[in-house]
Amino acid sequence: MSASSPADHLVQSSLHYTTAASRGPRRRHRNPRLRRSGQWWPVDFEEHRYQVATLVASGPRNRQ
Amino acid sequence: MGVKIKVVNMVPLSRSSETNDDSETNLSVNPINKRQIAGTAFTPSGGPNTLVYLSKNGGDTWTVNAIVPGQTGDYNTKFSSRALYGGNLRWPPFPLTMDVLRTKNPFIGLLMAVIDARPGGGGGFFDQPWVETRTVGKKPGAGKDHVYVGANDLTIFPGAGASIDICANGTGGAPVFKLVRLDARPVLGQDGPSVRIGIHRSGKVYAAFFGWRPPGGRTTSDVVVVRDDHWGIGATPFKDLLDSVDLKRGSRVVTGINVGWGVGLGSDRTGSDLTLAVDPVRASVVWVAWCDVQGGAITLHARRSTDSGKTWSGDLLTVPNAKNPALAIGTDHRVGLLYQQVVGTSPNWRWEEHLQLSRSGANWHDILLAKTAVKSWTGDYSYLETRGREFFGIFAADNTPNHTNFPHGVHYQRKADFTTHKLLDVTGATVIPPSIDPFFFKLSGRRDDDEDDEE
Repeated sequence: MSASSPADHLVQSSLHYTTAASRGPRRRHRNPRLRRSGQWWPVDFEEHRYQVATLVASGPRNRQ
Repeated sequence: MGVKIKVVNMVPLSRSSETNDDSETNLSVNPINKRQIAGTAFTPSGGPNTLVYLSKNGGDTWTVNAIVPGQTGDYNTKFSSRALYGGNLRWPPFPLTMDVLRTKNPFIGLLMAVIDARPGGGGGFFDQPWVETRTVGKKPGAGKDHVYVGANDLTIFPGAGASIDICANGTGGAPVFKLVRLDARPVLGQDGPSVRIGIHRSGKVYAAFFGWRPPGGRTTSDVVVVRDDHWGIGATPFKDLLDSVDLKRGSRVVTGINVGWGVGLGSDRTGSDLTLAVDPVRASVVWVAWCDVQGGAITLHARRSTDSGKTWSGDLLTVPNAKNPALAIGTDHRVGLLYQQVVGTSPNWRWEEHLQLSRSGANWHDILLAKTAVKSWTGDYSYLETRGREFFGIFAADNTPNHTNFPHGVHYQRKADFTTHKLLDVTGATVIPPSIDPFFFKLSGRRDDDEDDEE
């Protein structure tokens, strides 16, 4: 096994989810679970992150 | 002759009531009319399409037109001599599609035409589209727009997705794009999001990307520069620069770095800060800057090659706690490096927006454009470019109207009271909270002692 972290088995993108902005002030970096995971996504990206995660090739490691 | 600096808040008067996070900025100046400038930021339009900021008077005033079809996940626009092109990661629907866009006239408000579309799939999409273009000046191909859209193709995840979608005639009736993979080495999962492109008028085209290598991926990344000497439109594009050590395609400027994915700086995320610029006169001179983690701190590095990317200098500028680097080079060989740096201690952090200028890389002239509150997300990139000897740039920053935040002055279009440091809505009657806005700047002239820094 390589020294990769579980997050390396998820697509890592720079996607910006603009509906977050239209909802008001962003809540970046304030989600403890996301902070722990080291994900790039702020909490407002959760919806899209879910969709990406479910599209990644099947397997439990892809679901963190 | 002294340096002249103009800084403009780009939010139009009619949008004075907005309090959005207008972040992650990009800019383009029309090469045949530098009074025409287009800018992008994550400014919600309130409708189904996405805004572009436009100026017809050299950046003094700005309007917005919702001409990018759909919503955006990432986008930018760039002028050739004949059109304005765009790259947009469009949604809905999911998975997102990367559109390549074109308009002959962005000022009339018609939607940009989709001239290429790369759908998402396989769990991913074409991340962070980044368009660059140039109208060819000499035969062969004179008058044709070459269009390059850098992106990280996550549809092939796990795989090396750093790519450029290339078209040899963007103004043609049915432009044909060819997707070119850039990374010749094994990856751990994927490459980083950023693919940056520098085009020289001779046809020499450079691109830089983060190659995420085993065993750590984003913690053991290379900064790789590839090159094509014939516009990238031949049968085997971007194979003209080999690494001097492993002899594979792409010169490795640095290896094994931690790009700082998830580390964060101030209010922002980090992890794919990268920029490249080629000298507009000497095609063999190319600069690269990136950010990585050094001693626990996000650190910016700027390096130069004078032999078309074969060998690289050490750091010619190193800046701690900095992100969003953007390089550009003038026709007088003066290089500019725009970045933002966190100063102070939490919770009283401030973003300082710096433009550093140098000719030799040994001596730098540091210009502080803004010093603003760290409150919300400013985005994953800013942008700098040159027309002749002039520098044009864009950055996102807190918009509190306070002259002490802008050492070289600032002009607001939106309603603001610089005496009370309050923003006002479009009626002028109601105070609204500060937010992140895009700021345009232009630098012309030079310091009287700049010649002391001759190479």
